[in-house]
Amino acid sequence: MSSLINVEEVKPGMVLAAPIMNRYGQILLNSGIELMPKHSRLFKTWGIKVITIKNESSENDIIENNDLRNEAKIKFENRLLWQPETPIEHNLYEVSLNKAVKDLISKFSHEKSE
Amino acid sequence: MKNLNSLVHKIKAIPTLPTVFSQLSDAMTNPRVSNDDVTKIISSDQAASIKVLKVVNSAFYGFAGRIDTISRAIMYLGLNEVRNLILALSVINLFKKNKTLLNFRPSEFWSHSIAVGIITRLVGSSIEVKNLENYFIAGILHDIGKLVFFEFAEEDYIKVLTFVEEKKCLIKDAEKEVFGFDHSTLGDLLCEKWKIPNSIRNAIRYHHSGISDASTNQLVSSVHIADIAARALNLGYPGDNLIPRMNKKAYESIKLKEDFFVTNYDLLIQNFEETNKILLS
Repeated sequence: MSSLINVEEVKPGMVLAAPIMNRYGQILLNSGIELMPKHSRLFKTWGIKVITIKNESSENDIIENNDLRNEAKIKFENRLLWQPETPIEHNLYEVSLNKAVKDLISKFSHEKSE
Repeated sequence: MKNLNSLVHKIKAIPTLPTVFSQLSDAMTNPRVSNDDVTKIISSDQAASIKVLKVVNSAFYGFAGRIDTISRAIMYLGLNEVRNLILALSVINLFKKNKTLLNFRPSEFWSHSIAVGIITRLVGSSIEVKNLENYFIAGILHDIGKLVFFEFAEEDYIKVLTFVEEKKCLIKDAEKEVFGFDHSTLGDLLCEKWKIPNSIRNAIRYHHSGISDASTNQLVSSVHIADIAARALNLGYPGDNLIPRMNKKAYESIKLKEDFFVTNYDLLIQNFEETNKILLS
């Protein structure tokens, strides 16, 4: 999902959803670029008034994902008979916890879409 | 408490491995056997041949689509690795029952075992083991003793699974409680019956501690680490959902890199999904 916004509303961290081109079709900035304060100045210089940015996840999605992350962590730690101490244990812990979170989020989105 | 001897007696009733595997093993003891002879034996079992070719052409072995005949598979992978793949397929087919005891399903059991096989081989490859031919199969077979319980002591195994649920313990501890010994001991006896090579047998027997004698220690440690990693990553279901601690001596003795899991994660998941689909189809 993307939306068209006025360059005055650009905030650092927003991501460009469509490339910015000059009147000759040459690409000035590619899509996918994370916007920084310098870009606002460039837009003014180029005479760009509106741009398309990727929509961030809604606040609800973020809260929902955080809840799921916590739930996944609790479930994962309940199965774990140890706490990570050595570097390789930390490595296995991180990778496995990330997978547990991913599994739960995908299960949740799957249930939601049904 | 059942005694080991009565189960051992029952093991005698376990079907022998399919002819193709025993013919292959016999042929391999003959120093004059040619690759053509071996190819003929394997090709006599068409279903096994097709699966072997699917596996060797998967990302796991890295020969994507280049091996189209059994003789080529032998040329690239070596006779032992191909024989081991036939062994894996034979054992999975032998125990691929639809029967489920409580929440223990053979398909989930095999998924766990396949994940352990894949991780064992990735561990072996990362520590630069020269000969990886026994790594995948040792992982696949590491828990085979559970299926002997499952098959020949059904009622008592339901007690084991109930004990796991109630006490939230590892399945090996529940087995010891009910039978007085666990699946690693039983797996070892099955290996004896099936004349499985010693290094694989040691991996089955010692996968809980991860420590063995010097000659087979790399393989035993790799299976031990892979078993715990497959549990942590929730790949398949080994009969309980707990994640025990890796034996420090095991990963230190094989000098496993500290970032092994994060470095190999994507490859591991991709290989697991693909191989699981081929072997369990």
